[in-house]
Amino acid sequence: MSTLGRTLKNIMRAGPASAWKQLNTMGDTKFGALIGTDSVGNKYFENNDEIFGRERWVEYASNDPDPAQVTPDWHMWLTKFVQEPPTEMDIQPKKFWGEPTPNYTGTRNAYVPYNTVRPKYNAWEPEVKSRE
Amino acid sequence: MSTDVTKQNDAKDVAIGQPSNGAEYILSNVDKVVAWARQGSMWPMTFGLACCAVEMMHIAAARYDQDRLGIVFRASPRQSDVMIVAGTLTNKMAPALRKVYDQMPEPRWVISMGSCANGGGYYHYSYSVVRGCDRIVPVDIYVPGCPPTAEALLYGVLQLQKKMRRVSLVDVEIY
Repeated sequence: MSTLGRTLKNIMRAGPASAWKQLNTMGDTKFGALIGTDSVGNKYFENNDEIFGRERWVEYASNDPDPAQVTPDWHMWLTKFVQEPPTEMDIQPKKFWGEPTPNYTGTRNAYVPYNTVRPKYNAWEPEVKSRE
Repeated sequence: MSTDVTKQNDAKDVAIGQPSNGAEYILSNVDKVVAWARQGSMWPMTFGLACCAVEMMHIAAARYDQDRLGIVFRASPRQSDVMIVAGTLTNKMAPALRKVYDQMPEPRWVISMGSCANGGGYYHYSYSVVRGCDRIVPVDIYVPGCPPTAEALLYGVLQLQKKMRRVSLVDVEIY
């Protein structure tokens, strides 16, 4: 996909610090227009000169990036659900909308299932009888 | 939303403990190098059992392109670190699954893909199906879905990379 010329050109255009971060996270150097920033600080870019499917991308604010950190409104734009970014959309928040939460698996905030009813069956406890 | 949510998912918070002395500091940096090496070349053993296997093939194909993550499907358990159990595990297949798992060298991980592998799924009450492959092998990542999309499986792979980053050599020694 990437050629040496394109890589060098994008390093020059995006700046060395940004390009280094891109190489560490995306494994590619990219340059595009900053379309917007979401509520957690992720930056969203677009460059329609890229090949199909790679025109829109996100640079995460977190040091430990995870796709679940993309907020729902920008997820629509990022996956080409909608053409215009959420900054240009007339979104009326419903009162039942919660705060977007990332995937907490593996952190201290991870969901731990629990049961409030009595167990419905008795587990088998294997037991070796001594020989007589 | 406040910026706290992002901070909670930072690498520092994911780690179980912070290094408190020099030896722990060096060990945790060695851990990072080991995790980098492990997550950069996961070679999955493909245990395709049913329709989930078709979705598993998609992550090897052009659109999701697992090669960019260093993932190469291996046909031999002796050369693989990750087993992707994709599909319904029947009673007849269970000994073979365990045998293949035992042939994999340490360290090894298991991704359980799809409802059937997670807990029997649609065939939970069948007389011939194992109710979850975690009854046969220890599972690291459960990918839900019937079948999960290739995107979901790839997200599971990324979660496994995250899990590899959390492992510390000291923990493994105790284990």
